[in-house]
Amino acid sequence: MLRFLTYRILAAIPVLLVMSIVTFGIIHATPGDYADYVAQMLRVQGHASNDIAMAAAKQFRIDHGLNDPLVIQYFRWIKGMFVGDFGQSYFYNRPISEVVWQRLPPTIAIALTCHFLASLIGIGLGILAATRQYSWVDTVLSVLAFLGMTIPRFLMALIIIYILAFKLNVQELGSFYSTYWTYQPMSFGKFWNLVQHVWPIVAVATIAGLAYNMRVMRGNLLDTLNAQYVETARAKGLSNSATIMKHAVPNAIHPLVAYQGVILPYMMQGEIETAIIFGIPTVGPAIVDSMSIGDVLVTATFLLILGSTLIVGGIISDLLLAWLDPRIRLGGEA
Amino acid sequence: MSVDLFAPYAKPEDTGYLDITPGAARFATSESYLTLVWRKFRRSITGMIGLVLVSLLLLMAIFADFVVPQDPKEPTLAFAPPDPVSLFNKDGFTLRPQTFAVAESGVLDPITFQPLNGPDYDHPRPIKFFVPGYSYNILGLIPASVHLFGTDDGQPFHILGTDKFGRDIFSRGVIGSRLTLFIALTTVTLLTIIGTSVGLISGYLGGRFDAWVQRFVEIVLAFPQLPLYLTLAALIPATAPNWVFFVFLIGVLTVVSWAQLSREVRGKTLALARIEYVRAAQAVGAGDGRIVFRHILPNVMSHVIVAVTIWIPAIILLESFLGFLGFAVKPPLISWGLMLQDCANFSVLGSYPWILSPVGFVLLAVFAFNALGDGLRDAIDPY
Repeated sequence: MLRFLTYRILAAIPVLLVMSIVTFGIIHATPGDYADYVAQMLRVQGHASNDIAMAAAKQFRIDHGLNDPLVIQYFRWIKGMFVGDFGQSYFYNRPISEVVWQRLPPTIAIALTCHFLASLIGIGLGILAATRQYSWVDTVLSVLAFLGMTIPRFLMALIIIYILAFKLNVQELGSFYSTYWTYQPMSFGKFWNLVQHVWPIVAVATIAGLAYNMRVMRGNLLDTLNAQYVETARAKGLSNSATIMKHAVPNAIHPLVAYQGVILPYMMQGEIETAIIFGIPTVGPAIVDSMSIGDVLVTATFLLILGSTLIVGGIISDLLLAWLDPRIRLGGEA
Repeated sequence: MSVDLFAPYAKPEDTGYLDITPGAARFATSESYLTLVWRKFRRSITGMIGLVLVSLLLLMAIFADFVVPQDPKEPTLAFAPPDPVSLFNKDGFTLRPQTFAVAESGVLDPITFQPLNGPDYDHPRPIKFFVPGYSYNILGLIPASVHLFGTDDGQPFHILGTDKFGRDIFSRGVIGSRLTLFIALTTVTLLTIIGTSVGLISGYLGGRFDAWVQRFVEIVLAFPQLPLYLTLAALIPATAPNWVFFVFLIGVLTVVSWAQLSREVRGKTLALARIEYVRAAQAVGAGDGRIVFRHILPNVMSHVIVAVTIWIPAIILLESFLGFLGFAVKPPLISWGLMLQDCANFSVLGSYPWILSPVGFVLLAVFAFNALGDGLRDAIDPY
């Protein structure tokens, strides 16, 4: 087990390294940098002449080392990474680590909530559908699952936001709390307020994952129910529910656990997509915003951190699978 | 009275099983793979719905100019609401659907004294098939000016309303299907070619080459997808000419999506390369090319075809989402993503909700291709 873990972690390091280089390269290749944004703001908001704006931009580049060769900028950035210093965000005007710590935990929390709900409800409905194969329950659930996987998440989010904002006149969309609760200490009321603001994101991101889980679970359980040991269990007089819950379901869940490595990025992406549309201050909007004004380090940091989160998630799901299913452990080196 | 002894055992005709009734064996032996697939596919309702919808969608894209009632680039009244289509006029019910122009009713609001507008019931505008309209070329060759439906009084007819420049949304949606479907089909063709060949070569050659290619694939897959799309899309210079932008978009979509397919193909190839008939082919001295193309590729193909039908809707969605975020093709071109760009402004969306209607096209296309893929997935392995 330890060997398996060490191998997986060591294999992740070069991936992360290459990823950081590529990310850094791509982001620096985009036309324009933050100094351009500074010049633009000076022109538009400060009514500065073009010369003054360009001079200010030039000074900004010198002050912040934006003229240095890319390699040096890269190493400066990576060196900071190891001591937890991600550099300074120009746009948010504070250390990037602060921005990350403010936005990453809620993102992961929401993604995990969605993940949890999607697994729980999806597996439940999958069992329901598989045990009543070809009945109307199965048909309805299959149709719903198909729709859930087909309807794009950003459309769902758009339609929900339209109904909330223009039909139900909900105020203060796009934040975690209403203004009244923002500076209150955590309490039940505040938590309820949080739920009221976050549920659309959770709902939208959950539905697709739920449908996916349900389909996989239904297929697996149907296969398992045909297995001989299930027949044996039935033959020895075990009740129907005990047969399904004790014998069939635990075996049908295995492939689903193996899928966790695939599902996690999917849930994460769902959260990001929906959060961008709702404008909830999590990772998604931060990436889009920093991207559009050339605050390069913020985008790069978020990309790298998301990437490593996904890799860690993959390792955890592999470990979980190895713990559940001894057969995997033997082939751990592959 | 003759009794058919085999009646209880007779299978319905389209089961695809070997028929065991006497005399039937002769006919049941030589059914081609495609016949079997089609036979199984025909029984899937979702699959058939998908097939019909996809065919209609492709026909619509090819004959887009004929289908639309309005010139998609002609500006009329900005943000005009959808024209209501009604089966009732002032005489009561008719079978001819008609629409009414909006006109001043001559009545003033009793409080604000603003003139009140409403449908002009005195002049119904019947909606007809095959009406004359703006001229175009069928398939770019045959000049024509007949359109599938519309009003023949020369006035604009907006079934889904107009956008911010007063262009007909329905017409733009239909014409936009060309570009969006073209992007999706081209991207999927490219990613299939790249993904399949990388997977095949890597899986067949194995060894150190395979190990290196897989490390590379792993890195591509490790990127969080959406942020990577965004950063790559931002690489496209804003001032680039239209075709550069277009090629770039297809390139970006391809670069990020081939890895998954290549991984699946590699897995299948690895398994196939150990099967007896491949080893037999090696033993009789067949070349690598012949083994790959004659023995492995046909067996991988079924998987690839299913992957293609899953990727097409995914690319359509990505195009529209990137468009929504502002990374669509540039204005003289028309695509669904570009049309959704205006929806990102919620105050505009709140006042003129019909600008969201291109979503219907996206939804239809995604549903159609997914349904087709769903049916194909079950049918592709008929044995």
